[in-house]
Amino acid sequence: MSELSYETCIEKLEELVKKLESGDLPLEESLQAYEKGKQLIAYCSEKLKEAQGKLQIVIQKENGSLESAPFQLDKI
Amino acid sequence: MPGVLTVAELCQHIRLLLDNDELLRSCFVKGEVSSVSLYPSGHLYFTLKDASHQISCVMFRQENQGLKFKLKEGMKVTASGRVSIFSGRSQYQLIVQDLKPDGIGELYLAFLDLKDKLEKEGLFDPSRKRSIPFFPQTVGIVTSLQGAALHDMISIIQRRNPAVKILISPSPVQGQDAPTNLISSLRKLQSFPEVEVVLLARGGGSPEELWSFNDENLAREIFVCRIPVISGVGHETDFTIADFVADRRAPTPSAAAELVSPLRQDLLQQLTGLKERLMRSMERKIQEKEFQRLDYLMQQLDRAFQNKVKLCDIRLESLQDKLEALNPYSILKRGYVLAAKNGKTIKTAREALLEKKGTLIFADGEIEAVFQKQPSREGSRNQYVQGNFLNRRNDLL
Repeated sequence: MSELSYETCIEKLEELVKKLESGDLPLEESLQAYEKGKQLIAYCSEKLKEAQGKLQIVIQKENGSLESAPFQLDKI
Repeated sequence: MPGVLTVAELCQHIRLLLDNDELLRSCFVKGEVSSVSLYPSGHLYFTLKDASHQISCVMFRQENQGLKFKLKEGMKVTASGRVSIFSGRSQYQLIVQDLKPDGIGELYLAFLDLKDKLEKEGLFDPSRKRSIPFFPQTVGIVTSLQGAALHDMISIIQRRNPAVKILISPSPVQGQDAPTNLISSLRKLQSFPEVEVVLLARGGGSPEELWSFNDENLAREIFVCRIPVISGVGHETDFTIADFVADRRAPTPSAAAELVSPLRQDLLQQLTGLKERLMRSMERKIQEKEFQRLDYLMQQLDRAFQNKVKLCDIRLESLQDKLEALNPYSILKRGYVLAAKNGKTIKTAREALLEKKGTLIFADGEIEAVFQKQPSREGSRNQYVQGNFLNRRNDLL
């Protein structure tokens, strides 16, 4: 699931909810859809969490390798 | 006289000559602007002149609407267009397609050439443009650490959606080395797999200051970039080669920042809505099922109860049968007689003799009886009985 984009997750979620709302699903499948829906919600919520270390800058080390380091706007 | 032309024919001929001339069909002219006049039709008329010559120019409404500066008397410009004749009056004029303030004339030509070349190569092809992720987790930014653009972009992204991570790959955005640095910074970002989209940006400036974004190598680097690129260079009216080749052009750096930061509040709201719908539909489903179960249980209960009643009936019948079998009176029907005294059965002869008097109970009634000892030992079973029939009611039995 980690490769899914936020948008794709939301689309899948919408689809699940619509199916559930139609009431056509048998109970077993409803439960499965519900569980899947909860997973998707948890996944999306996770993505919406405020990022830690959200501002970084690319730094090139002496040996040429690249890494990212924390950056503060007021340093400009 | 042969060879005599009408005025119209002559004018037509001259016009054809001009229209068919390679140079006149597409030329660049630089000069000074004078006699500017904007007609109500929206067409712009002016004269281009230098020290000794002048030529009438017209820039039609359609073209002059895209003009990024206001044309003024005395302004030095480079015009591009074709020379043709205004039919009625046989006056030739420059029909201007585009107009640039001077100083940039040479550069502008180079720009057009490059644009043409890259377009033909397919670098601007809409079909190869990648879609921009709706809500990227990490956004790469290539711009100068010195400019206000970086500050604007960061604050916009962080305000709109603090869940978005930002990775800055700094580069000078003007000067001779800028294109090489921009390319290198863009490349560096590509080695961070988490970066989902790149903002290539620069704040507003003069055309010369924006010129690094018209670099051919930069254009090619954007084209092959692994990550979708959004360009946000200068102001809304500035177009650079980078804008054409980018997957998406934003009019300004701020606009580019907005494109990659969907409002977190909106997303949360949407997600909450979906969550509620999910819960509600499931609750409904379970309730439905619960009701079904309840119905089923009721039915089961009903059936069980009826079975129970039936079972009771059967047991009652069998008890009745048993009771019937044990009914002492039933035995009387077969000819046996019961001796009793005051409702108590007399079971032995000895008892009968002691009681002396009693009742004999038959199937069809009772009689009073006197019990006495038979003098002889011989005789039948009723040797102890001697009595009178007393006409008792039969219905007692």
